[in-house]
Amino acid sequence: MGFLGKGLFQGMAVTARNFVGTYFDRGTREKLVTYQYPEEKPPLPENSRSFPFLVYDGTPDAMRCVACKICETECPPQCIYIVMDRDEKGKPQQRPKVFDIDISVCMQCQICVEVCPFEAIKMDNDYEKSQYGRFDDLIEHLPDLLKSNEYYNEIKPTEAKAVDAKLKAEAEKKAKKGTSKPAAAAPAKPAAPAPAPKPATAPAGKITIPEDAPFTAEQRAWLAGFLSAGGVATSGTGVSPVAVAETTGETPVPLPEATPAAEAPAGGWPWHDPGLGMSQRMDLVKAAPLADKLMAAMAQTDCHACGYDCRGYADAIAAGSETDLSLCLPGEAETAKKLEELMKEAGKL
Amino acid sequence: MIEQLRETIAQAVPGVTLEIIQSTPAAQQPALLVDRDHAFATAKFLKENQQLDFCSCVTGVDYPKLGQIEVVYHLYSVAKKTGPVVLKVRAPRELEQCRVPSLTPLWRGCEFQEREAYDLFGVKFDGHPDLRRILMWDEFTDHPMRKDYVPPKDYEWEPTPHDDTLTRAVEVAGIIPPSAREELEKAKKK
Amino acid sequence: MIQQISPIPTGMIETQTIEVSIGPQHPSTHGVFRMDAVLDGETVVGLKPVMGYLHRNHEQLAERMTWLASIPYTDRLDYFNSMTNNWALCLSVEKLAGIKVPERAEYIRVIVSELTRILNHSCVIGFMLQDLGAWGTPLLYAFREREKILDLFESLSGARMMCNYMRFGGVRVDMTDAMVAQAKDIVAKFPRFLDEFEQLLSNNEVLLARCQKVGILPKELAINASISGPMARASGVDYDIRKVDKYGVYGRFDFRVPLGEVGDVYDRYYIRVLEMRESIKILNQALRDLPAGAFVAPEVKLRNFKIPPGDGYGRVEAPKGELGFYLVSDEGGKMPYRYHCRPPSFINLTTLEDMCLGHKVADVVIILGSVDIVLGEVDR
Repeated sequence: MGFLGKGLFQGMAVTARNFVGTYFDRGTREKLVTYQYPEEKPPLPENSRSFPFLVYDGTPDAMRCVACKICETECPPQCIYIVMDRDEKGKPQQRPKVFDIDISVCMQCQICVEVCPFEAIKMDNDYEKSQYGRFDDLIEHLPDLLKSNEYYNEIKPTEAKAVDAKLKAEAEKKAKKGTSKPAAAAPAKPAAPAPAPKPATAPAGKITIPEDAPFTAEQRAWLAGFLSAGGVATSGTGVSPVAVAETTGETPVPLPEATPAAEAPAGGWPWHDPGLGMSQRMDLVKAAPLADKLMAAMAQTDCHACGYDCRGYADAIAAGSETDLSLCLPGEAETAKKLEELMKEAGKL
Repeated sequence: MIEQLRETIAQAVPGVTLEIIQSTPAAQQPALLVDRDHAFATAKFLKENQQLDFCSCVTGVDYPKLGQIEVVYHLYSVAKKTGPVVLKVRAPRELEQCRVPSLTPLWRGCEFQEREAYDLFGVKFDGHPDLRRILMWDEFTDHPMRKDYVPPKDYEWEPTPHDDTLTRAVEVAGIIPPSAREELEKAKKK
Repeated sequence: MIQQISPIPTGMIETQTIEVSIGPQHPSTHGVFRMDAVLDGETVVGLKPVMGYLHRNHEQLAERMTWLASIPYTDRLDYFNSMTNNWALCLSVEKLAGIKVPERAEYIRVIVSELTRILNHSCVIGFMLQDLGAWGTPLLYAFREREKILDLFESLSGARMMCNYMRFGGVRVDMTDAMVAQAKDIVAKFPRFLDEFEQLLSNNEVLLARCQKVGILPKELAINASISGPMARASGVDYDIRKVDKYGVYGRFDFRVPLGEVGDVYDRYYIRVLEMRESIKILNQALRDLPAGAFVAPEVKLRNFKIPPGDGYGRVEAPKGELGFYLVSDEGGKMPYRYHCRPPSFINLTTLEDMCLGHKVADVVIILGSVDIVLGEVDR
């Protein structure tokens, strides 16, 4: 015990010690933790996150995003808005036409990054986003959002390296699978003639991008890579990928019992090609079992938005274990409608 | 164990009807559903004879399918360090008949939580010393946590570029009422 | 002139009580919170807390989105302690779904939660002293130390306050060795700061005069009014959910539960200092024993996560008290049918009037400060 006011003096000693201590705290930031912000910026840790951006490889056209809308659905405050790009025939282009993020709504939770199966959306660490306008200025559009993989590697080296390694391993695995298939390994040959109104001059090999598809050379190259990486072997089946005009999925053949389709046939499923239109895909499965038909109605991205891959979702519907027909996000209303139609035809709805 | 408790209560509180409601299989928290007339006596017995002196959590759950609103009490014992004993009371959904006895005279901790349940679900607690709205403002007339609650037109609504997404969200969850949707359509046409 | 006015004998003049609305925009209410006080002179004779200014119906929002999407919203409940808020929700969901969390994840959860507790308690003391009139100094000392913990949280989870770190069945990212070293460094240096902090405050005559025998909360009332956390323990209620439920891996750590004797504001101040020291103990053990292995249960799906129908209640010892979630799942199981949050600071306000009666207006401010509320949690 001591005299009255001892506690006060003790406290003052502490403040004095701290006051003096700040002068001897150059660099350690033990006593001085303040940064003189606009002049001096604190170093950001690698995990630091602000708003999402979209990653592209090489050129901005080669974005990883396939507009599967998983992030849009999962986003807690609903700040993402995606419209899938389609050509004039209405064929999905596996890329977004519109990708908006309202950063006045975004709460930087990173859930879009976690749910993306394509490693296409990542968190930026640029926090200086203030704008003068309250509305349109706070919307980030597709060009603002697209940033290169190099940038991603720069801001988050460890994470980006892991992602790159993962993507590379996946691509290699798929390429290996592709080459093991005789059809895919076959040398380049022109696509077989097709009962199509237009002559089929599809590029050779396993890539089947229609000649008239509105792609630049770069896009074409990228898409080719994408398709081959996806292990999509469509040539050698004698079916042209060129759009067949106005032949909706009418099925004269009586439907067989729904049997979950077995392993992929040697040549892969010819309709499992995201570059094809719905009517083309339905043509390919005219005589196939229900599960194949259902699968062909889907967007073929294997995005797992429904919780399965395309094959799995089709099998689940055919087997009756999945009753929700509206789970295919990239296929949008078209797929849902077609699935319903097919199920009605099969007498299961 | 819950069976045993049920027997004990049935002996101590004559005329009580008790029903056991199971929780999820993993949670292992079966609840006792008590009829409204004997809820207070049951709770009193639990407090005095079972030493459940800590009423942790009070809330309502709306079941439009059953036509009932359920009030859930989670009781713990600080003295014996056991719990929870889950007590459920049900009342009809209609506002006039939606009354249950208040347990605030037994546990002060229910005071604010019962006010909250009254505010958000419209359950009237008979015997509550101060039953007023707590989170919503006094002039508010509805009970927003009921499943059939339709939020009023949002007067602060302004068009945003991602209205389409919001509309889609609405179709799933029904957040924006039809009136606001009309306005949305109008804005889109412009 | 002055001498001509005769002194008025007491009892001659009828005094009137006056109603004062303290808040909702007042620095001492820690947010948008109002106290309708009835005063007789300067003495409080009645006081009703009024809340709801920050009400955003968190529960209804959560009932309209998936289980996963609610996690970032829990960060915003008690924005000082997003880690424990995350844990409370994850623990409840894991309880309902029967998910087993890997060892490493449990240890990481303990580490971040105890760091959160330290962060919260030191800041609460700072805020309380701010309410007493100690302008800035203790608060900024506390903030300086909090900064070091927030830096760790940022390098771990990506955000300083809205961590959004835990996931059902584990945590989102692993704690690297560098982060463990950083945490060890913080833990090693913190007791020294705590000694300094105590030297600054604990024996300060002004603090003693203002805090002792002010706002006494009796033990029986504390239990009856469901008061939890440090506030209940300051009144002598031996109830710590870490000890009672032994959730996570808390059963493996050696720590004590400090208890107060009087239950006044000073006890509520001092109990927090002692709890910080116990947290340091737990942290030392957890950082020492941190096992290797998975940091998230691999079988838990991120998307299309479903819970079987039924209900359940899970709770954790958050720095402010018992934070619980009562969840009901129905047939679909993708979204909560009912999602109720039991916020500790909301329920700890129940006895605010009892503690304030008979004290001066100036004491109301520090009594409220010692309750430790965050309005994001009170109003939800």
